[in-house]
Amino acid sequence: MVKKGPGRFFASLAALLSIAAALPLAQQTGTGLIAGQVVDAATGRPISDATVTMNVPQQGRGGGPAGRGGPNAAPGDIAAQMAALMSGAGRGAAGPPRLLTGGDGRFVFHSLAAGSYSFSATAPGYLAGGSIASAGGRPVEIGNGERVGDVKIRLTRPAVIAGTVIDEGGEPAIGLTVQLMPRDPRGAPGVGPTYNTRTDDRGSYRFGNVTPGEYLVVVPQKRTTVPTAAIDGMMQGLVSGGAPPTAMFDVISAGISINEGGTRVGDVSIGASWSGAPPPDANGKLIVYPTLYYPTALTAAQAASITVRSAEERNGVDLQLRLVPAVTVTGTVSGPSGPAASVGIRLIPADGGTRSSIVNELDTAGALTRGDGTFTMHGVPAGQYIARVVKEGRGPLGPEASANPLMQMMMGGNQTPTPALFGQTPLAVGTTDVTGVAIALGTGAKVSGRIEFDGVAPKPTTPQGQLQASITLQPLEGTPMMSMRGGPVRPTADGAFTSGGYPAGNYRFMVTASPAWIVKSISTGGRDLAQAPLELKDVDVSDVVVTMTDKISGLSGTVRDGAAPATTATVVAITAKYREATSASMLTSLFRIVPASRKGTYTLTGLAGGDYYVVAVNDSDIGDLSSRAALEALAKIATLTTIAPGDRKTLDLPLIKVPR
Amino acid sequence: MTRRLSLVLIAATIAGAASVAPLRARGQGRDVSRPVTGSGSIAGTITTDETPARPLRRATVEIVAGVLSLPQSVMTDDAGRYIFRNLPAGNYTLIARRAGYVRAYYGSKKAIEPPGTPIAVVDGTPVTNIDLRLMRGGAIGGTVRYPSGQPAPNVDIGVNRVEIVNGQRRMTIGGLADMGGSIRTDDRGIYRAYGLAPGEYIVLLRSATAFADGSARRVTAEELAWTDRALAGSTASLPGTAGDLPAPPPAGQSVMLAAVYYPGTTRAADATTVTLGKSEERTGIDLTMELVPTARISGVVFDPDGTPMPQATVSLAASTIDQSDIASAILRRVGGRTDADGKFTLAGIAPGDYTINVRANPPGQKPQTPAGSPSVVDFAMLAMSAGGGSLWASDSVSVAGRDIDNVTLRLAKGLTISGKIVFESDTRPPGDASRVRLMLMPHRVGASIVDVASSMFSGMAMGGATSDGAFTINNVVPGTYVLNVLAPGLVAAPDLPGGDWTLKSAVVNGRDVADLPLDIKAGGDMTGVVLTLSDRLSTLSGTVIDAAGRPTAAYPIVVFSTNRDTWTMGSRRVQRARPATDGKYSLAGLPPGEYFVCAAVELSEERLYDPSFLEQLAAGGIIIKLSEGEKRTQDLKLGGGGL
Repeated sequence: MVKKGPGRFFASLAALLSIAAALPLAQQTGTGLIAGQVVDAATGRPISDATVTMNVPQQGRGGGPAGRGGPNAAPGDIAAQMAALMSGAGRGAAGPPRLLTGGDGRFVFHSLAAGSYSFSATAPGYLAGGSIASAGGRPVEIGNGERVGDVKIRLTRPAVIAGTVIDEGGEPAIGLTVQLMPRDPRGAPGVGPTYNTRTDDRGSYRFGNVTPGEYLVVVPQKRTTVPTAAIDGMMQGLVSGGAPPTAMFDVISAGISINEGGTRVGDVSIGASWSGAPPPDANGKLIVYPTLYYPTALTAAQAASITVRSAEERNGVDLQLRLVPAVTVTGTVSGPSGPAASVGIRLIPADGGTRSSIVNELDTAGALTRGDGTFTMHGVPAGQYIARVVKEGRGPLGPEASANPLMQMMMGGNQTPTPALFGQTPLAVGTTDVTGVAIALGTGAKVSGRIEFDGVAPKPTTPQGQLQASITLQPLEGTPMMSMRGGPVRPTADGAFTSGGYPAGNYRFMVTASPAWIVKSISTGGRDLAQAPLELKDVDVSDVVVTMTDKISGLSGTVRDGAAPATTATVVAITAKYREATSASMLTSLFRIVPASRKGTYTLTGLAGGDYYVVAVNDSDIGDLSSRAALEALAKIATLTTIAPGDRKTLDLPLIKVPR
Repeated sequence: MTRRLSLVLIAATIAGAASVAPLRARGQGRDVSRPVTGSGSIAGTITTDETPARPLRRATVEIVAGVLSLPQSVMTDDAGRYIFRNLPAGNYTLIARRAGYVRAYYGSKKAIEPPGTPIAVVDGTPVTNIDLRLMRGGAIGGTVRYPSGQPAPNVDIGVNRVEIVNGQRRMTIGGLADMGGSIRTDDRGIYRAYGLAPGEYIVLLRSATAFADGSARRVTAEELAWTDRALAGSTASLPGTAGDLPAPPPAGQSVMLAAVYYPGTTRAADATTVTLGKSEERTGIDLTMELVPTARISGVVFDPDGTPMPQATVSLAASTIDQSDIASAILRRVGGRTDADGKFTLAGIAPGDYTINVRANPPGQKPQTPAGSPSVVDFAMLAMSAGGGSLWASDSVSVAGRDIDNVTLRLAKGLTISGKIVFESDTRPPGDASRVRLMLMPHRVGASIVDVASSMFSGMAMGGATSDGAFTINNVVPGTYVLNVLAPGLVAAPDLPGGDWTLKSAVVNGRDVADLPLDIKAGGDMTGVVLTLSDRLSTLSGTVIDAAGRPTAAYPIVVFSTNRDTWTMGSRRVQRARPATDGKYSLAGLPPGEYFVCAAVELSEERLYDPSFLEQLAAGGIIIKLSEGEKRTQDLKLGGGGL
């Protein structure tokens, strides 16, 4: 059994607090009707016991959460939010309309007002359906009193991957976490959806609801070394009150878990991600189960992937854990003003791919520094690693948060704002202990500049008179370190902005404002940041100019398949500047995709003026658009059109059938 | 479903915090930042309970002691051996556990049940041969199906060990402690709970994602027939022509999943328990889902002046609590808020009897939060009582599948209890009253942990004090309560002996109500209450001697007040002690008063607060009077014929 300690408790609390209560939507009634059937995508047979959810068009719902009558407590008002949650708030709210099908799989929603409706369905033994790719996800538009009777929701059977994990002695490994991770093109664990399960008392695991695809089966294993003083300090805060010497925020944000039933050796406690991992000896010496990839690989690159089709059941995906010797790594972390206390160090496999950068589940080891900035990290097997530190910055706590006991416990006694700190070093580990590892932390680079509003519409302002615009720097692939608190940067009333520190790397520069304004251009030193990433070294960037425009363009029309409206079309509009994109990661911001309605109509809003390649193809011909080649292939068969700033252009499109 | 699971965990954590907090405040408080070490040690071997016994490697061994700030744990080596070194002198309880096995308590009569026998450790003397045999856990499994017969994946299953207490099947505290992960059916509808102790189990189907909000409606045959007419055999779109259709038939009933107990009943009382033998595997414990009609309850909340009250919290809790499943008591609660017109609607309500509780704050008034240095106790209290708006209303409602409209509720003002806190000490200056926390919990003799958990968030009130000792408890709904005084970390001078402060008396209108039921009636605030906190803790200790005149650790000691009104869960006046390996027991912090002192043959946590059990014990016990600060020695001689 996993021990649930305060860390997990507060983590789940934070998750809970972010849940907004679902509230009933005002549903307009009319005389329209939409009926259909839930069927097996492969056989066309009806599916019984399916739940069909109708997503009602969200019209005329302005304002923030307060306008919805939701839990509109102030951010610091955790007490009220807790109370609402604990009293079951939200569970009494009516959800969207939902139907249970009988044996014939049929459903009907009637008394509908004119509008656009979309449907999704779940059924036992099937993957949830209703994405763009299936007809069920396409909005169904009806006019006043219109009746549509032929909506088909096709559901796909999932694949199954199952097996057994035994330890080196042949005993079943019990309660062990097994993960299914999508495999990226380079063989590393990808960032797509992941499945998690645990082995039972026979060592058996089963992923029973897998979307068809290519996967790696992984048994992640991690060792964590935490100074006992840090644990005691946190407990002191919890039990006795007062500001804890070790803030929970620091520990949790460092990705360090202190709740895994550690064994105390000297002044540290050594934990393991699995309770069946071997204990350390009296000196902290360990043999460890390293992270294991099916069938017997210690790195993702050597792993065998498993590709499953719909309804395929792959049994016998068995693994055997093995033990390898491990060493102890010691060193020091120092910040701009001296030793860095209570910072977390993650030890990341050097070949772990993007996923390893983002999540800590594939880390080999973790440690927390002592008060003097030194650290000890036990249980590290031989290999190439990156030792990385991201110490999250803290903004000033507002008066409400300062008065909130939970916030004080989380943040510790020191309420002084601190900048985020970043540092990393490559680390080669062999068969002997590694000493003297030094990680220097820097504050990263700051980005500053101004936002200009070029237009006649009033500048977007909040009721408090602040400029309503925010800037986000999204780290792109290859950017090693990310800060959880790299939250939006808000400009001052005159449009000037200055970000906190960001570690070196490539970022997508994104700006959002009110719906009346869109980005016209973003530039720094003559470079256009709409197409190119912002490359940050350890030097501040101070001359970013964002120009917003209120001339918002749009494109709409009808897709025709021959003379008839196309019923299964998707429209893609690619900005002609896509060829200037210097990074594959930037491509996703350079096209827009929208499914046409069953009557072939489509609407794209919020476009900037400019040249676009516009093309309508069948849903099934939309592949993975994350590569330049894929966009180029579409651009070749597309119509090139120029949309003037502010123009709502009409453009009918032929459905283009892509040869297979 | 993660959200629901998290709620259970939070509730369990809070229940844990609430029950631990008074213990901590009761004389075990110390500065945890100072590690305590010594030269004692405990060592032993963990094996299986097979014949011959097999050493169990990588079992976790955990020790808990008042002298340790936190439990310590070690793992066994390949020969099943473990050792704790550098232990300070003290009494240690020891637990061993391993995935797939049943956790064992050292020295417990039934090895798998707490409490164990404390191990007396003195400086410089190693304690060895503290061996435990772990039993391979049993398993319960089966298949869950839809009424149509097809397997039901992703259904949450409860497998709860129960004990009969007071004629009721109650979830065991041990079962609560092991409620770590959810048991859920896989894609074949199959579930398996493992590592189970032998005993009686209630197996129930708790919830399923597909029916989470109780708003799903069945498609009826009438609706489909009407649809066929409307579409006139055509599957293409038909343009609207108003007035050519009869009105649609009534919509199908909205449904949700009922809690279904093995072998197939929705009434907890009618459930058949599954008897699990030692290391037994029971399969075929199959369940069929049952959908029950749900209804909506809607109405209006008015403030005391009769004006509709916006932003009031409305929650609905079942009137009858299933004592065998703590999760249901919490998860089946629904709630919402009133809109700008004071109106509320709660949807997806399963048939049953409910209590509607409403709490609200007048506009502009913020919920109460404690001042001063917060701790986990504050947080737990905050969570449990923050619903405590200063206005309240309550009503009962019976639901049977039909919508209930026009429920009206009129808010009344909550009451305030106020007074002062006084410190009494021979050696120390007064403590900082601003660190004292006050909590009113509903009073009920014989209440279970499930009762306590389910009364959270609706029936508690909290308060605090300023440094000069003036205290208030706001937002109290009339009722019968017991006052809990918590002084977490309130150590005025840690170097002085005496430890924490403890409640000596709570005087209301000249009557001491410490640990006794306090009736709070509508109509007036309660003022001038004097709470006296003292650091003159009494201790009761002694040796248990068996019929042959030897010290024995075999029987737990139960000490409980002769005043039956104090026999409530978590009471300071109902305590147990397990004699250590040398037969010595000790209890600190019993408030002054008259007590029964008894030895019990067997004692589970569930039974400690069970009035019928305490009555039985009382018949064979001795009565002592304990005065404030008294250090009393009371040996217990056991007769030959047992107790």
